[in-house]
Amino acid sequence: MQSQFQHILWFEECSKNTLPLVGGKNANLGELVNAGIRVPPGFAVTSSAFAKYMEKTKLWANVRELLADISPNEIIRIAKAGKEIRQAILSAPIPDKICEEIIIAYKSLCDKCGVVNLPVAVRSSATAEDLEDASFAGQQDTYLWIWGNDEVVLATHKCWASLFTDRAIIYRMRANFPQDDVLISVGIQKMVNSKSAGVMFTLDPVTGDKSKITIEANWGFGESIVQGMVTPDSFVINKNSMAITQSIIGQKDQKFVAKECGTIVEPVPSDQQVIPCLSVREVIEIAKTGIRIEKHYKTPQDTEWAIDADLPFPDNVFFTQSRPVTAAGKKNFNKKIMKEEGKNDIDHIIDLMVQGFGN
Amino acid sequence: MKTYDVVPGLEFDEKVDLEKSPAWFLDATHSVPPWTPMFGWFWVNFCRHGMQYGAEKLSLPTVKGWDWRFKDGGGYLTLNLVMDEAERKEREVKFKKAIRPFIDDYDKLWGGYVKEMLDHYERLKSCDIDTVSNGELLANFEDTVNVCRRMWEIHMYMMYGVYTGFILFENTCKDTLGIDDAHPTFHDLLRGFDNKVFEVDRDLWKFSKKAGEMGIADIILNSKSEDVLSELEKNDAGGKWLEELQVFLNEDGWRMQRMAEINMPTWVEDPTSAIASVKFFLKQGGDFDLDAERGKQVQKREEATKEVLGKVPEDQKGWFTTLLNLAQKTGIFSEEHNHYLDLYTHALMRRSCLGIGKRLAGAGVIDDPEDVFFLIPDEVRASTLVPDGFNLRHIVDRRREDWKGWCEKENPPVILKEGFTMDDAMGVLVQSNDPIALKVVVGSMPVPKPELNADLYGICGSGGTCEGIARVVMEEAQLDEIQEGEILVAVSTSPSWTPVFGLLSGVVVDRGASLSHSAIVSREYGIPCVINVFEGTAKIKTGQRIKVDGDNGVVYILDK
Repeated sequence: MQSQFQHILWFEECSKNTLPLVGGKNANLGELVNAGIRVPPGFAVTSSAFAKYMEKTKLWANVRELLADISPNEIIRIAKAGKEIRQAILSAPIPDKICEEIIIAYKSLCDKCGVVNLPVAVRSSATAEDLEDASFAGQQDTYLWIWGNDEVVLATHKCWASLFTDRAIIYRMRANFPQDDVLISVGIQKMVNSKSAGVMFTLDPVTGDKSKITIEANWGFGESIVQGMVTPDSFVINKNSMAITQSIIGQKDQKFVAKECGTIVEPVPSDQQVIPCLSVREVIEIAKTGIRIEKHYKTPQDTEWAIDADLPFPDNVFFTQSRPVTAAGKKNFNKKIMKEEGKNDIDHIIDLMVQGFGN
Repeated sequence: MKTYDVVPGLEFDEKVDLEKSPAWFLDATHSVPPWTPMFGWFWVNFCRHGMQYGAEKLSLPTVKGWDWRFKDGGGYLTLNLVMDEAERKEREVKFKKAIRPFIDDYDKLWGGYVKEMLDHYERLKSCDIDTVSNGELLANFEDTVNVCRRMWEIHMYMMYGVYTGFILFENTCKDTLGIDDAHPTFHDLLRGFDNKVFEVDRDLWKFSKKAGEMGIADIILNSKSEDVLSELEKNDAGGKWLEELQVFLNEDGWRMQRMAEINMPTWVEDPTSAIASVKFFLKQGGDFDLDAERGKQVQKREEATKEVLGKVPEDQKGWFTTLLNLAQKTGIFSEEHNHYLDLYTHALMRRSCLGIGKRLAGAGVIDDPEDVFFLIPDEVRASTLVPDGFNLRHIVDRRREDWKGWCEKENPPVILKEGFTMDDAMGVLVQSNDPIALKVVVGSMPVPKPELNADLYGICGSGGTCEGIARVVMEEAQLDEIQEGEILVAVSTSPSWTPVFGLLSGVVVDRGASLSHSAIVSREYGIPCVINVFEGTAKIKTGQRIKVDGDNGVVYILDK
C-alpha cells in the first residue's frame, strides 16, 4: 500500500530496516508492534523530514560556520554556538508540506484513540547507530503531555533543535562524528492514560531464575515504581504453567496522576492502598506479552508497561519500554533504606523503625 | 438483668464504649470458648494494663496500647491511637531511646526478665497452700495477682519491642529482596533455633527413650489416656518412671492445657497430658531423633542466610545482619514467652485459686473448690480471711448460669458503631501501625489464586509440599487419635500440642500468622504448613486425602 505520507511512518511500518529513517527508538517500537506486542500507538516523523528542512532552510551552513575550529574542551564557546544553532533552528519555520503531514497523522492518531486533542509524548529518536550508546541516550529531548496541532508541531521542532544541545555537540566532537552529517527522527506516541503501571522482568531479578516472570505494579503512572517511591504490589508467574505463584500486596500510599500538562504525586486513598492494582487477567496478559518479548529478543528483558484507562482490555495493556536485563538482573537494594557511610548500624535500624511507624 | 459485674469498670457498655471507639474486636485467639469469670477478670485487667504499660515504656509513636472490655466471657479490644501530630513527634524522640536495649543486647534484656519471673514463681511455689494460715493463703493470692500484673508488663513491653523489629525486618525483605513473610526462604531464615518449649519437648522425648529401655513402652502405647496412670503404677518400672517424670514436671511442667484459661488441670497436677506427649514420641519409633531433626533445620537456615546476604550490598550488611538477628530472636521469643510468662503464671494462678477454693469449700462458702473460678478477686478478698458463715453460693450459681449461656452462643467477632463498616475498622487497625495488631489481629490475608485451582487458599507458614490423610482436631483430647504421616487440620494450635508435630507430614490451620505456634513449630519439624485458610476445619473431613502446598499457601482436597 502506497502511503499518503512522504515523511511519516506509523510504528507498524518501522523496523530495523528503517532505522536510518526512524532512529533507534522508533525502530524498536516498530519491532515490538510487529512481534505482536502492544505499544501505545503512534508514528515517526522520519529523518527525511529533518533533512529536507535543513536543506530548505540552509541551516547546515550555520552549523558548520558556528562550530568551525572549536575543540571539545572549549565549553563556553560550545555553549554559545549551540545556543545560536538551536535558536536558528527554532526560528526557521518548518515547510508547510511537512507541517501538514504531521498534523494529518496526529489527527488520525486522535481518531484511532477516540480522543480529541489526544495527549502525546514527542521524543527524539537518534538515527546514527552509535548514538544509541547509553551515555548518549536521553540527552535529546522528550516532551510529554503535548496536545493540539500547533503544540505537536512545536514539540517536533524542539526535538530537532535538541540535536544540537551542548552535550550532543561535545559527544560528537569526542567521538569524531561530523556535526553536519547527523539526522534525527521524532516519535509521536499516545500518552498512556495510566490506571496502573510498573515494571516486568522476564526472570526472577533476585535469583536470576529464568523460569519465572516478576511484575511490580502501582496505581497511576510508572514513575513511582522506577523511582522506588512506594512498596509496590509484586507478582511472580511461572513461565510454564502461567500460574501466579506469589502475589504480595504492597503498601501503595502514593501515585503519579495526570494533571493538566504533566503528572503530579498524589496520595492513594486508604482503601486502595492495600488492594491489588492489577486483576488476575491483567497480570496474566502482561506475563504472556513478556514471554513474546523475550522470544522476540532471545534474551531476558526488563520492561515497563502500563494499563490504559481509555481503551478496553486487552487492547489497553501497553508496553512502553523493553531492554535486555543487565548484570544478571539483580534487584536493587532499595535506596530509601540504605545506610549512609559512617552512620551507626543501630541508629540506622532505629530510624527505619520510626519511618515504619510514620507511613 | 445483670447483678454482678465480672470485671467492674471494664464491662462492655454499648452506649458508652462505642462513643469511645467505633470498633471493638473480639480476641478470638484467647477468649473463644468464653472465659470463666476469674480468668476473664485477670486477663481483661492485666493484659490491658500490660499493653498500655509496654506501649508507654517504649513510647510507640502511633499507639498507646489497647483498651479492653469484658463481654459475656469474651475479651473485646480497641486501639488507643495517637491522634495529635505534635505528640507523635515527641513520642518518636523518646521511642528512639527506649527501643535501643532490644537491639543493643536482646539476650541480656530477656534473660533479666526471665530471671525476675522465675524468682517470683519460686516465691509463689514456696507457699504450701494446703497448710498455711488463711492470712498467708490470702497473701499468696495477692502476690499472685501482682505477679500476674507484672507478667503482663514484661510480656507486652517485650512483645512490642521485638515485633517492631520483626515487622521492620519483614518490610526490609519485601522491599529489597522481594520476599515477604509468606515466602519459604523468609521462613528458612527463622528455622532451627532452640527455645525453652523445645527443651521441655526434648526432655519428654528422652522420657520416651527411657520408657523403651525400662520396658514400659507398650503400657504407654496400649493404655487409654484415662487408664495410663493406673496401668503404670501397677508396674514396678512404671512406678519408678512416673516418679522421675513427676520430679521433672515439678520443675518444667507448669503448663496449661488451654493457654488462656485456668479451669483445667496443669501438667503438674495431672501428668496425663505429658504422658500423651511421650506417647507421640513412642509412636514415632526408636529411630526418631529430635536433635538430628534440629540439625537439619539449622542447615536450612544457614543456606537461606547465605542466599539472602548475597543480595545485600557489602556496606549494608552490618545493620542488615543485626536486624536479621533481632528478627530471629522474635521467633524464639514467640514460643518461649508462652512458657516463662503466660503458661507458668496461669498455672500458678490456678494453684493459688484452687488453694483458696479448697479452703472456701471446706468452710461452706462455696460447694466445690473449682467454684472459685466463678468468683472474682474482690470476693476472694472478702471471704478468705474469715470464711466462717460467709455465703457466696448464690453468686457462683448465677455466674455459672451466665457462663453456660455464654458458651452456648457465640460472641460476635467485632462490635461496630452504626454507620461504621468492617473496612473502616480494618483501616483503623492498619493506621495504628501497632506491631501486635498487625501481626496478630490483621495478619496476612490470603490472596485467592484461581489459576492454581485449589480448594483452600491461605498463606505459607512453612514451605514444602506433602500429600496424606487429613485429621481434623477440634480439641486437645482428639490429638491421641492422630496416626503417623497424617496431616493435622485445626482452628489453631497451642504449645501443649507441640510433640504431636513429630508424627505429622503437614499442618493446615484456619487462623495464624508467621509468628503463630503452628508456623513456628512446623518450621522446626521441617513440615509444610498453610495458615489462615479460614475454612479448613469446615471444608476438610478426617480421612480425606489432601495435598498441602506450603510454598504457594494452598490446600487441595483430593477425595471429594
